[in-house]
Amino acid sequence: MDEQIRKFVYRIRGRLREQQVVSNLVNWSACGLLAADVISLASLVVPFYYAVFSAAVIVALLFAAGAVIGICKTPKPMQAALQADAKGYKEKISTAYFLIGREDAFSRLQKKDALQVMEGFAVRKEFPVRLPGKRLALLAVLALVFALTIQVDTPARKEARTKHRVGQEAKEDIARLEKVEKQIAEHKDISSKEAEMLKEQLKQAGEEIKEADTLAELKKAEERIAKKLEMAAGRMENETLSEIAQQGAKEAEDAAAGREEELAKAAKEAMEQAENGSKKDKEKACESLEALADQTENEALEDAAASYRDSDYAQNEYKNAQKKLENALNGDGVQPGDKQEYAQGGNEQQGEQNPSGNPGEGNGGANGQGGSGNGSGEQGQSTGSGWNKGSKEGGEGPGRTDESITVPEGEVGSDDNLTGKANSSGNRETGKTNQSSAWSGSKVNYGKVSGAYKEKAYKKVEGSNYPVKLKDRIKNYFDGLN
Amino acid sequence: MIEEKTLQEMIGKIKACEAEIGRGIIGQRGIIRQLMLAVLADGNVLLEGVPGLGKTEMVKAVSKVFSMTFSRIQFTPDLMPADVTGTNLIIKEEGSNVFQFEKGPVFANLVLADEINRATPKTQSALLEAMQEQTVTVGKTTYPLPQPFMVLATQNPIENEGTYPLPEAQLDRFLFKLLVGFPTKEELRTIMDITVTNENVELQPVIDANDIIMMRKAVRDMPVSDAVMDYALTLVMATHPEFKASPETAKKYVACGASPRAAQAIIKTAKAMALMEGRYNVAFDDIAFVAYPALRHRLILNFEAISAGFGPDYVIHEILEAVKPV
Repeated sequence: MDEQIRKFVYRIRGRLREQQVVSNLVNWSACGLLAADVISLASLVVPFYYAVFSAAVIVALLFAAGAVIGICKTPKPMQAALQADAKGYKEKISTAYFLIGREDAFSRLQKKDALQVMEGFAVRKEFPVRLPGKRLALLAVLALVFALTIQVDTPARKEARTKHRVGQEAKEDIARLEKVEKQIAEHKDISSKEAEMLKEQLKQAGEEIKEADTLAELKKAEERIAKKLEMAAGRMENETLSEIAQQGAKEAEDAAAGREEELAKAAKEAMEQAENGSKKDKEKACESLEALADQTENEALEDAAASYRDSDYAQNEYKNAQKKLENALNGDGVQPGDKQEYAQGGNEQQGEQNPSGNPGEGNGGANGQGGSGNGSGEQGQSTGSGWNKGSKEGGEGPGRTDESITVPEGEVGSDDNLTGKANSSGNRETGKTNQSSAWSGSKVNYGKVSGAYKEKAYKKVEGSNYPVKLKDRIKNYFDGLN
Repeated sequence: MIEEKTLQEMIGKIKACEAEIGRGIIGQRGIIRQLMLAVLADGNVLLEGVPGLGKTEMVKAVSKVFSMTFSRIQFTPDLMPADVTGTNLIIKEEGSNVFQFEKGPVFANLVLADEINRATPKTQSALLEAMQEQTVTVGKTTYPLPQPFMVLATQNPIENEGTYPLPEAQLDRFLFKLLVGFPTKEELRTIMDITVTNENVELQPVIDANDIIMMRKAVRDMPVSDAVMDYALTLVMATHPEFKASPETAKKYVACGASPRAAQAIIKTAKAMALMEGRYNVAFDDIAFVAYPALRHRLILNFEAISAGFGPDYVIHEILEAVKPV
């Protein structure tokens, strides 16, 4: 009798557990989906690349938690018996379970009575495992909201994607720089002075990469790094170090070129899709072009995308858009006659400087890059600056870090301090004074000063509201002072 | 050990008793049932109701059906304790005078203390020992009362002038306090048919004193599961405003909660209830059913409750609503 009662109670308990697990799964999943919806909605306005991933993880975790808690919260046998009694059995089942092990007359009679009740007790009918309809509907609604909101593309989402991509690429770049740094550390024959100098360059390069927010900025940073390393390689006395720097420069250059190629390919594909695809494809292509324009900060691409969009897909309008896009892809950066880019010298500029620190005269080979393509510049004269088309990355003169320059204290000298000329009788008077700025200044290493100037200029530029291109130019100039 | 057959017979007899009393008393089914619960649970009952509602008739019917000796004491302000318990009389016996105890009306199985609140506290307290100990002490001698013994006291809720309200200690000795209400129109018509015509209902005895004693034993043996016991105790605890877990109503309106006797009363009568219904276990419903008569005279409400017009039944209802079975 006791065993029968126990089995019955455990059967009820099993049913209750099943129901508990189902309810918990639905409830916790609803909570998870609610959280997913919140994340998804938040990611519409706040850039968060991992929104979908986070939402999926939360839903999965809460789903698992629901199952585990459902199992853990299974009612105890007595509670199960009481729940069975609640169906109108006047506590017969729970009392019978309570009386297990007792054999007095009343207990026997009670258990017998309870067993009769149990025989007629349809466990499946009385304790059906029901799916909570309303909550399931809520679950479906929440899932739908998530599915819909995740499809919406907003500037925040684009920004998140761009940042993520930039972050990934930046990681690769930093890994390359670390590789170079490791190579330097491995070679014991490198003089510590040169190694330190290169490491400093690498450190600065790493910081620039970290600061990049867009692919365009990253590309520029890579190009700058390539040039810096290339120049550094030229200055290195140690061959090994020079090779390492050159290799690093090449890798950075390749990375920039690869990025260029990749973006161009993506833009071309988008263009083809816009031309040949359905209306939906065209819309998508427009979005792709806009995304590319955002990532590369390329106005031409932006114009091309806008033209596609504004054209309402009329065939004749495609040609204009295509033309703009082709211009963008060709790397002109601008359309002929529209803009002129000012560039300083070229990559191979050989500038000289006299001991007083004035700019030297030289020919600037203007092989700079402008926009997203390569352009050839004209030869510059004098300071190595010249007008060219598309070349915006000026070259840098040779390093002058070992040169001493005078740092004046800023006081105006007096004529009395000038060396006197011989008078008609051939006499002249010479006097020394400490009032002259020439004397009161001190001679310091050029490299130290230029670094401080560069830092000041960077800070000033960052705090200004100059256009981005101008900022880049200013930065490039100060980079060239090394 | 009680056999199944005996128990079944008992249940049958209880049901027959209820039906037989119902023949003589029209309506008041709930009161009859609660009276029978008190008889089976070995307790005393305080019946409260306006005059003419058939309280005395009901008690008479119970005594007749249960084959119990019955005595009625009309409590008045000049009633003396000896008038209740009995007294020593000087009797001539074989030429000499001897004291002989003359039993009072309390020496009966069923004592009806009519309008108990009209007697002085001294006389009221004469019933205390009888009710609690079921003995009477006169002089230095203690006399046991006949078994089964129970007191059914009545009191009138109105005409309070010149009455002596029962003290709490005495009220606590009553297992139940039953409120006898006015019958419905249909019941009243049936009462008229029986009482103002020549039609006469002669009630027949169904059980005797031995049966009642056996039934009381069976009631005590009735098992109560932990969950049900816990519910009953939680209810009693919930009447105490000083406990943190007590419902807000109890905290607001109760000055003093129910005593442990209340818990005893609830459990005992709930067991009797189960037996009356032919069950071998106590249910939550049994506890809830007996909570009203077992608690209503044990709760002392504060002035706030009285001024708001809330009686004990309201508070008990609120407590039952607040305290749910597991």
